Amino acid sequence: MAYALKKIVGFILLLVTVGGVSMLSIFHLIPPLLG
Amino acid sequence: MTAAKRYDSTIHDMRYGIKGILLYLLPLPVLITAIASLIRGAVFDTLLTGGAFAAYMLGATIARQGFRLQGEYERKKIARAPSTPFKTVAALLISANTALLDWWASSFTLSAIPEALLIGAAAFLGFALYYGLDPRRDKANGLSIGVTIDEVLDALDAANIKIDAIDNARHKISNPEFNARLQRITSKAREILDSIEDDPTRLSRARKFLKVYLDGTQQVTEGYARTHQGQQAVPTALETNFSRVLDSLEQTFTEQQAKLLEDNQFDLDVQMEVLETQLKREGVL
Repeated sequence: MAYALKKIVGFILLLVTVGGVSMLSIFHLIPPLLG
Repeated sequence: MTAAKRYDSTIHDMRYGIKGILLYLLPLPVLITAIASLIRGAVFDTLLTGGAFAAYMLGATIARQGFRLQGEYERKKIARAPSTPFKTVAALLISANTALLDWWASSFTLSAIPEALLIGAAAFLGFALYYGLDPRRDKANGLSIGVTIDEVLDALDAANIKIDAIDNARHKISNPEFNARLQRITSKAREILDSIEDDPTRLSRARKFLKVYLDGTQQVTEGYARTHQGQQAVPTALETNFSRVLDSLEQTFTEQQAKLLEDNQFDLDVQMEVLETQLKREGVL
């Protein structure tokens, strides 16, 4: 149970941080592209 | 070419084939950003995002090396902790990279630094929870008094080096029959090492056996391989001699292995003396 929870929390954190910041980098480009 | 398969440690790596793929997939949008920045002609952004993507890929590759080493560590009953903490290095690289990328996305404003650091720390925590960090302690299961983990690991390392040397020399020998026999000998040697890993108390009885057998086989194989390389035709006498030595080694080793597993100390020593005498007579030792 604790192991599964650790894995799920770890997965979500990786997804939100690495995945989130990667996606954010694309959105960062949008204003200059629109402008 | 012999049809028999030689021992290949990479077979074990197959289990870890897909582990860490997430670390390659999650940063893919950064590559898109780098390409878009390049199209826009934004040199700094291109370099930064391109570099960040490369750092992610490097981090994922380092992490996979860590997964492989940890897999070997877990597979063995006794093992040293990995000397280089690949997973920790990868986690640090990935989290620092994430923090930098987040700061860049916030246009490098000073007020965004705490947020970027927090994101980096969360990435490190995510890695540590999901993949774990490197094992730090040597693993020793059921070691009896009188045999230390260093003693066992040193003996196993030394034996592994000799087996690898025999394998290397074997690759220089084109005779398929000799090649197959040497392959059987090295795989038996590896089985012996496995049995010592299973029960490290066997080391004291196997020490002499491993030394005489492996040293003898290494010397004779390397000697034969050298002669074989230097000349087109190998003298028949040498071929016969080598074949006889291999016969003895293979046959004796099979018996020794069985005896070792039966824990029959007396027979083991007697047969070792016979093998040692024979190797000396053949000029191997």
